[in-house]
Amino acid sequence: MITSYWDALHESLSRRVALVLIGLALVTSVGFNLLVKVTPLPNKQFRIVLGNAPLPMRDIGVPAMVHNLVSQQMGIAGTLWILGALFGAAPLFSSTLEKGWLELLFSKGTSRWQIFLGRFLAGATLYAITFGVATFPLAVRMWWQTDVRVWEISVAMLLFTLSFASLMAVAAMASLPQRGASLPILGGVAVWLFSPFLMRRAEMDAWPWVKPVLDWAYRIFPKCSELGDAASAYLKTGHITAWWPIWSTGVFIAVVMAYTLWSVERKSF
Amino acid sequence: MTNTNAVIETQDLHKVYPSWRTRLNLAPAVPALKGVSLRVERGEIFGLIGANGAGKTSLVKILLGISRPTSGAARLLGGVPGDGAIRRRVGYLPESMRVQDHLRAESLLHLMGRLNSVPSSILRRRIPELLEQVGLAGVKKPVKEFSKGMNQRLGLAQALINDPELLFLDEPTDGLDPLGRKEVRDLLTRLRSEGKTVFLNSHLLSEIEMVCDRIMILHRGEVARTGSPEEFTRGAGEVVIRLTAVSEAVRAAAAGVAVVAWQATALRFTPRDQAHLNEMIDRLRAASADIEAIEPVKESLEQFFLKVVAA
Repeated sequence: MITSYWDALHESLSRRVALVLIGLALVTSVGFNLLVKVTPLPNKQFRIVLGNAPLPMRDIGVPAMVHNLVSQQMGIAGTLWILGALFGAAPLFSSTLEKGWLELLFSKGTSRWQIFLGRFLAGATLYAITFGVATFPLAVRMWWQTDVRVWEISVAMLLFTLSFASLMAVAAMASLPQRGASLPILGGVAVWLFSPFLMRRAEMDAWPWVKPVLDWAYRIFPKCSELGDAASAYLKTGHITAWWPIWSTGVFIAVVMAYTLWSVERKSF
Repeated sequence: MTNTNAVIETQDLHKVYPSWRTRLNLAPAVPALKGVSLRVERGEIFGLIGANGAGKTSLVKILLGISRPTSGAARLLGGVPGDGAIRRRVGYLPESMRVQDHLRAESLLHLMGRLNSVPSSILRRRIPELLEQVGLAGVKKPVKEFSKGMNQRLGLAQALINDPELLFLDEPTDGLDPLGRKEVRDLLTRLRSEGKTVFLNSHLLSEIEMVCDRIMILHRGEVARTGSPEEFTRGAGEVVIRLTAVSEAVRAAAAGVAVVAWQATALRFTPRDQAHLNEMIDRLRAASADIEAIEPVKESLEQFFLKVVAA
């Protein structure tokens, strides 16, 4: 599985979409850092300004400002990057099943489920890398210049990666009944788009029979939107406000991946 | 299915590829394999030939555990096809090998070796050796820039990376120049001398005829014939007798023994037995014919194959 993991990571990082994604992450990270100006004041005080902030500036204190900035940066990484990384990582499953490559991989001594699981983990790692490239430089700079640590960004990254992993699980399952990367990507995007809709289902004016269906869909499907909110909340408070989105998404990933790995193991190609 | 010396054994293998049309009874299911039974002994080069769609790839995929039979049984190296421990002892070169764009020759071999649980320390030694052996030493460009022949050579190297006991080769000489084909033939012969078993699947019947110990002809999913190349190319017992010159007396003498066909100074006929052949020789000698050579007429494997398929 480790061999498959490293190969898939190498494969995903050599794809143009992944390189563009990491490049963009770097550009936004550098760009955002350039917008943030830290000025040392007497008595070990700092003034942190984002862009050309109009006067009078609101004084919210250095730690709050640092967390606020990192949270803004994370907001971009947590949304757009999830979609982008899906385009880079979902084809890892369909490429495994390409004619000529499938025969090479599946005739070797490593089980198919291990090969697939390695690719799943590599996809999640790709997302974590792009997230890290986009957000960590600002957090490290703030730590270095203001001595305010934003270690919560690591937990936030794990929460976003969990969200991304649920989309990868959907992509893995969608890659089995057919060949090609379109269905895995579409499946992942559909679940991601469906998530805020399900989160706000109570606010919708739907037919009575639709409500229980949406409730069940909400219980079953991954809670990408809630995980994003949980990450932001954790960055600000240092506490997990609700565990339900985390464990239910974890169960979703475990069940979907278990079914996918069982299917790939018994499928006749 | 108890022969311990058998490396490959199958019994009554059937394979049907279902489609949604066949599931809905809109079209009859077309079987890819219909009761294939075979046994390949250790240390032999076994050739599998058949027309396109005969079921060759289906059979190989079942033996490698990539595909499952609809019914019947198969055993590979005494175990079940698809078992990881068994597959680690097998090498495979697929017909249309496709390598991911990011890989180079060395990284592909390393990946394939690791997937077969070959320790990295062994791979560090074996990879350069294999690349040297297949003529790809020093090639650093990505595999996507390889020519068909280079790709084929790399395919052979990856099939050998785990030093397999059993090697499945699907069209191994496809895309190779005559020198490359000779190298592959030499390689196969060397592997046989090392006690390894080779299962060769090829359309190049001349190659099969040159290297295989036994051949199986698969036709429309069924075993049409199994035998040695000698058995297949023995012909129908026809003999050519070449003479230095032919006179009317010689023609009359030959006609008195059997119905013959003349081609310039050579006559062709099919003796009933050895005595019949001796009688022909005696009569020709009595008519003062100078016999240059007596040769049995052999069939090429291609002729035999076409005859079997047409039948």
